[in-house]
Amino acid sequence: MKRPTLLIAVVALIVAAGAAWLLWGGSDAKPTTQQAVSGPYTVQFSADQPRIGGNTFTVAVTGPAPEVVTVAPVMAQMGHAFAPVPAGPDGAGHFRATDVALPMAGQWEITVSLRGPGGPGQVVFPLLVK
Amino acid sequence: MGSKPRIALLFLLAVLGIAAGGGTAHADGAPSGADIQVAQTLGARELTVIIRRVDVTPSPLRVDVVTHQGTAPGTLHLAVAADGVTSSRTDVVLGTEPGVYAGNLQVDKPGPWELSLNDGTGPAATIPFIVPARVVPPWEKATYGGFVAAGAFLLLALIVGIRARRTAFALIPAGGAVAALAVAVTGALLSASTPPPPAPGSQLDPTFDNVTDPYANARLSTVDYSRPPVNLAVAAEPGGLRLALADGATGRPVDDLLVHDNALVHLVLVSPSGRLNHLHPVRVGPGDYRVGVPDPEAGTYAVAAELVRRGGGVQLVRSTVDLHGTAAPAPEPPGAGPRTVDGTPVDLTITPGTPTTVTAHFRTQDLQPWLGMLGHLIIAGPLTGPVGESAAKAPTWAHVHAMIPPVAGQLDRPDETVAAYGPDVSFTYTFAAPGRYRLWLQAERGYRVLTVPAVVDVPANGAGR
Repeated sequence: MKRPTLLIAVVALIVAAGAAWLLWGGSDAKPTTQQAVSGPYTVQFSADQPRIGGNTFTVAVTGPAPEVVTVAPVMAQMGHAFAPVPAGPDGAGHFRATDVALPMAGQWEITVSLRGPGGPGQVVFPLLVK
Repeated sequence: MGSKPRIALLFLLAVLGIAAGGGTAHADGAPSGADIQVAQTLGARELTVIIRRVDVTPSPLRVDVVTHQGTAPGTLHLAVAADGVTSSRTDVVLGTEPGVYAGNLQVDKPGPWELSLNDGTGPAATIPFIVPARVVPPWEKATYGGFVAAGAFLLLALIVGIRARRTAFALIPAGGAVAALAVAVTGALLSASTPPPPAPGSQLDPTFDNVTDPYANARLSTVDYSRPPVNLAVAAEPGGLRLALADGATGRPVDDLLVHDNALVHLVLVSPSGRLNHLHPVRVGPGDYRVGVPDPEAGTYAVAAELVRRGGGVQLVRSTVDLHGTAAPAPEPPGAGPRTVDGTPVDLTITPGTPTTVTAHFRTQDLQPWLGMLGHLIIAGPLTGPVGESAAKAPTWAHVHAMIPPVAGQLDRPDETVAAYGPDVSFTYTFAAPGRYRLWLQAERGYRVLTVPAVVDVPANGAGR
């Protein structure tokens, strides 16, 4: 007797396709990139999978080259501000701040401050920590 | 043979069915937007800016600017920006007649946007707003997808039952149909008890990511969404005031105000002699608000700002500011009784008691909503001495509302173009202590905001509970 292998395979395939479609987009954690403009600076901020603990933020600046870049996290709902963390140079117009501590889940706001020949600039990026 | 191509065809049809089911679910998503009405005191003009709802993107964005009696004609420069980059501009020419002047802009993606208005005299006023995305909740996907898959499996079971050598083989796709139905029914039944994800804008800081897919980081917060109180610094500058809002916990500029009762900030000023200004400062930068004060008196003004930060909760911040001006002091207003305000006869009745009812009777039923309400009543007291100074110190500072009668099923509230309310505007308030109070009753008629001042003496037996 021939087993209905093909039929079982078809049903299994359809169920698998359906499950994949349902879960699509729910599991992939994209790196968050945001952009804001302050005076002459256009700042792009990205954080790879923001999480509780140490985080790495990258800042890309177009416009006049800033001399000093800092990132300062604030837990908006708790009203708790943290000391600014300097972001070191990481290629032309790119800066990287490593091990920025975000000790709890929820809504954070990261203030990126720039200083340099283009004058001071400050932009705030929201960040949701899971 | 010939069964293999047929099965392949069925498989293809099933996949197509699931895909089509997904499309249907998407189109069935509830309309997510609503009109945003924002009052703006821009320079010497008191305007209401109505950002009309956007359902799909890219799409035109219609912005209606409502002018009032006495609004100077001129040109407003409107622009919308996302990511700090302006993508669309238009000019709105305001005429001499009060009414609605429309401008059309373009938005090309859902997310946080900023509308800026510039009258050419000062910095641009910016209004942050959100262009919503159509969001399909996961349970809806499961329900629609499950029913479509169940249908496909049923069809497959029928064909297999008829065509296959053994009828029992039909049980395999039938099992698939049962599984798909279980998914669909579970999705549909769970939907009622599934909490919505935290709302970008009102609860979370909006980003392009979380507006487009609020379920991606859908974790309910472990703490209250509300934010710390604000500190308000008021400084007089030529022609008006400059307000600096700082976070009460961190000292940072407050840049998360929500539109509440049709404005970002409701600023109420009481002049030294008791004139009331109800103004709506414009945002020119993070935590930086400006407002023009028309024809001030010299002396100490009482300042009260009502605002809502992201996360909710109305805050009232009170302060004083000393202004230089040349306006003559206003005489003390009467108590209850008939009077004429800006050409409109109005009869004020005050029914003392606990609570007290204040009713203004306008003779015609043609009042317009202002700030989403039929009327506003500001109460300050008990007062002794100059009104401005003592209103700033008064233990009672109240802002009472008279609602627009709600219409069931209507998502958008009527704007100022609907002149169909009144003729009575009634407020009920419980005075906490006896003494002399000042009232200012506000309602709009013929695109003019009428302010009816009055004095009320609350007797010892009419106060308290």
